[in-house]
Amino acid sequence: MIKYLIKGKITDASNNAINNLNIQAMDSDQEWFEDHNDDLLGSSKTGTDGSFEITFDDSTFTDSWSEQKPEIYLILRNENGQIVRRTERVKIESYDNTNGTTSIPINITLDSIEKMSVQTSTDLYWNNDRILSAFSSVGDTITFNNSDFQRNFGLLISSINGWLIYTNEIIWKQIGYDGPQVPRNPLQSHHTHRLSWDQ
Amino acid sequence: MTMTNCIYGTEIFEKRRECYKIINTDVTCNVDVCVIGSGAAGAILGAKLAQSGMSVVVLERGPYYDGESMNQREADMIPLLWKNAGANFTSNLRIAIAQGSCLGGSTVINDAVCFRIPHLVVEQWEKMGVTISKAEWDKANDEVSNRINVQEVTEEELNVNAKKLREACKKYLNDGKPIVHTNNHRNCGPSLSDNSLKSCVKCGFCHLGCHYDTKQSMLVTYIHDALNDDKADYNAYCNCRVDSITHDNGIATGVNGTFIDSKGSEAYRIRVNAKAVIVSAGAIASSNLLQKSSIGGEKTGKGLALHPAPFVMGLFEEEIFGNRGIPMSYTCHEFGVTNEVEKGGFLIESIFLPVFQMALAIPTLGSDHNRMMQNYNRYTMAGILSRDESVGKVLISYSGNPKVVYNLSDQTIEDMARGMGILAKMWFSIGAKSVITSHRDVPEIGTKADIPKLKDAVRENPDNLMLGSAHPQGGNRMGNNEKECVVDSDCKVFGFDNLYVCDASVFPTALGVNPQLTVMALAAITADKIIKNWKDRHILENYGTTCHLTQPRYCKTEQLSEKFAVVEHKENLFRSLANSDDKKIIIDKNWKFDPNGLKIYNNLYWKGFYGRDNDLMTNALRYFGGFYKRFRQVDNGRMEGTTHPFETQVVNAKNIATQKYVPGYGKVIHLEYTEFPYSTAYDLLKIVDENTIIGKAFLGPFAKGRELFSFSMSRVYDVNFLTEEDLLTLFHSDQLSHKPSEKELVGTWEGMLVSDSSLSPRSQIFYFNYEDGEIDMRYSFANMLTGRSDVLTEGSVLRLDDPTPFHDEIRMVTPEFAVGVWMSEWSSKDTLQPFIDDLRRYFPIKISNSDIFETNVSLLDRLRFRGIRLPKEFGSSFLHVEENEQHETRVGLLYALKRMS
Repeated sequence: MIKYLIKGKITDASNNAINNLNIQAMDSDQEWFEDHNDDLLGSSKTGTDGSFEITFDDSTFTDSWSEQKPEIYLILRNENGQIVRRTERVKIESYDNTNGTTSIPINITLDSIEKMSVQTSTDLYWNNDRILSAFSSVGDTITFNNSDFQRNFGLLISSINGWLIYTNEIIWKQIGYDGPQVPRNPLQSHHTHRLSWDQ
Repeated sequence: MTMTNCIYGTEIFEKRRECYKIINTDVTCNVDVCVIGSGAAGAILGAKLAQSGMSVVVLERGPYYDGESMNQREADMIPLLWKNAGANFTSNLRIAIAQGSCLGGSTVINDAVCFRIPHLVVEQWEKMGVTISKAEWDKANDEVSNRINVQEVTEEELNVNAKKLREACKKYLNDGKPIVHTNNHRNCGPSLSDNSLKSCVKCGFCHLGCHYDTKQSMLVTYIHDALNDDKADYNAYCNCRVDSITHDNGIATGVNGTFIDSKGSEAYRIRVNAKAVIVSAGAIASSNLLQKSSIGGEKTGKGLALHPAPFVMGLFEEEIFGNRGIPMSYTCHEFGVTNEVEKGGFLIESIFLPVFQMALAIPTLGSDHNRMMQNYNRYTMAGILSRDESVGKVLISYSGNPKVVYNLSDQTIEDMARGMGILAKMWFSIGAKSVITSHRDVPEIGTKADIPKLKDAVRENPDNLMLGSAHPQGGNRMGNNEKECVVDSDCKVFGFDNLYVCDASVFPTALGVNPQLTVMALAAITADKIIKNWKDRHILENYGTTCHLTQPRYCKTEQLSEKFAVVEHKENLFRSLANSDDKKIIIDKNWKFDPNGLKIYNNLYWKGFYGRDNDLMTNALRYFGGFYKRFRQVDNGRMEGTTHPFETQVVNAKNIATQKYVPGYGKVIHLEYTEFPYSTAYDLLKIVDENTIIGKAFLGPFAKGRELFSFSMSRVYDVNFLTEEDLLTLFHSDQLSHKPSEKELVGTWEGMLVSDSSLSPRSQIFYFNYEDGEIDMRYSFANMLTGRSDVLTEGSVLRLDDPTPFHDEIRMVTPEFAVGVWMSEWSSKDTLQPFIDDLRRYFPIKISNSDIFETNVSLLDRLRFRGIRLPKEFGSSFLHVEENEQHETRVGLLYALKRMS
């Protein structure tokens, strides 16, 4: 039996300890199974100095047929059980093994508590899934009438036409449309709040 | 969850101005007030009530975006901020309805126009039973206008388009007299995010969200105030679809909702237990929610007005650049309610559209369309805002969505024809070369002489008008007549003590002017009344359908897994694992039904539940792999059990349950299967309470197996998880169900098919009407097959016959819940056998109460694939076969019926 010890400290960007965070150590089986089937190796809470320790042995993750080395990631949760960070997976190949215990150091720096909520940003603009899901609720609220076919077909064509042509910046320039006055992604691009026609 | 003053949502952002947290779990909360909607009404009600000392939760269907996210691009912002990504239409696709669906509601995407409620409308509403005086309106208007900084548009702020409209108004004489026209009032002011901006930047993108935060929408005023008030207890949950308001005997008890992620999938759930519930979801959505919650009956959804608005553009030699500057800053009042026009009428308001919406609005195709769009910078534009009659209605669609049925009235058509004629004449009078209209038959007219042609086209073929609406109003009429109105003048729903509807849906008539300020004023008035008349009441704590340790059947697989990790196994309850010795249901001994909570206590076995996830795998398990476990005590430390799928008669996995310490899991029950092939698997169980267990299934040797899935088990469950046996027990018991009289069934019922593991999603809707002593029954199966049935009341069941060889039999359990079967006629098994064989080829069949097919099952038979045949012992049990004492057989489906209205 091999014993493992995950040891680490959670701090913010200014090296202040973050206490009272719940830490779950998970063994990933991402290659084969869904995330929610991953093995829980052990769990712990950070102390006042932000440090934590989780011990476990190979019986908690060794499958009869799959790989014998754990692939570990940590789930950090706040007091309310909300996941504030899921770390990258770390494949344990070889670490210091003294007194029969393999030590795995994982130190995590979080920019700030607010920043901890950030996983990956939602794709805000041109999100086809978002648009399709919004359209899906329209479905059975429309009653199609055969006598309206020509009219509705016209509407469809003009919508597609409008979407394809008049959301295109090259066309905007051709017809002299000033267009938006801020960058496409204003959150990430530096910009001024002055209008092009005022300058 | 008790974190105060924050916005919660499912979308993940990096920079937010307000405190914003991501929902990662189901939420339950107990508050004083739950406000549904965060627009003009909801935001003000939420903020005022919170600042008066009440704890408030606001639920918003849309997401939370700051001005900084708003990038002025139609293709990006309309899907982000508008309801249904902008695809929001009347059911006949005649009118596009623009409504906001984001934190702050339509105030985020409107053109910031503020009109006070016209005094004529106040008088008209008073005559219709609304007891809100002009003084009350004035006071509330002052209060709200002050906070959102309502100011008259200055001369410097008028753009060329507005000035052209003013010029045209000055030239136009009505019966030889000058007409009434003024600058608008707007709610703009110092920016919340950019100190250098003291007021409107005049970019012209108001209805794509104000990037500069100068438009004083609810997001930057009332919502911001409440969030940042240390004394207020105020939280807003975004991306939250409210599914129903729960109520009991005229008391609203709370709200059930679902968090939707940006892909439209259901993520987590929320249950709010509240002392008062306020619906401010906006016209259309508010009616829809009341209908989904069976509130208001036939009155709900009636009397919808839309302010449908056609436009007329003038084409000029010179460049106008209508898109530059404030789009809506000037109004001609002459023909509208603001100029004492009592019935109908219209305002002519300056407006301009960004290029994509302009392309949609111009009613031509091909080269004509291209030519017209080339002149984009040379148009003036104004719209005819018609004060229409409240002729529309909101119905509930099969899927539960609002269906807006609206046909223009003759008066409105005439107003539009007249208004478009006047506006065309105005543009010509100041030198327009031609005029573009929103009528597909007459999209362009070259001279004043063609104006009658345009008016005739509107009158004769109004269907070909391209119409937009941004002001849906009505549906939950306010007044003093309980028979016609949904709410009283306090916005309180008739028949309820603590349920309010407050938004444009309560307007008894169309307002005739842009409604945002009136909606806000009404919210301010209503908030004051609620504060003044507040009656503290006890909160009935309830977890709704959220994941909780006491009801893990509502958890997602991931949540089950987490709960399994943290919950402590109750060792002392090990003995209570044992089930009833009886093998059949004996009512009130091993099986009970609670008609009040619609709950079943069943100690024949522990019924298994999978996670509520909606992925393919879990759905397959749910409908094909339902199971139960049954235990019998052998000695103090040991239980013998069997695990048995509902769908097969041959699988009977014997096991032994013992309590053990398992590394990584702590003390658990180890369920060891004793016979091959099941012995390759094992389960770990934790007893949560005497009727609840959470477990995990593993494949492989003990303590080293691969985890397959998490599950829960219970001896108490609600009718959403009814088994076939439960349904048949209810159906055949004279104590628990009865034959409904025709009148008892009147209303709308949704049907869900019964598989043993969980009810299916809605499969059918039944409509029962009773008129002139006769019952009329209509049905809609899967929103595809519709028809009528004859209702027969002979015998012990209510029977529905239609021309198919199948019929329905229904028995009523409670006024809100009934059980039914859809069955063929009894026939000899020789007659039915070929039919069943045929079905068996494609559908797995559950054999109940009969062994006729059991005997001839051979391995060969099970492995013989024809079509997509599956062995009959495996799979969905939706199809039900039964045999009577005369050895006749019939086949069909079982279903549960829940009252919708």
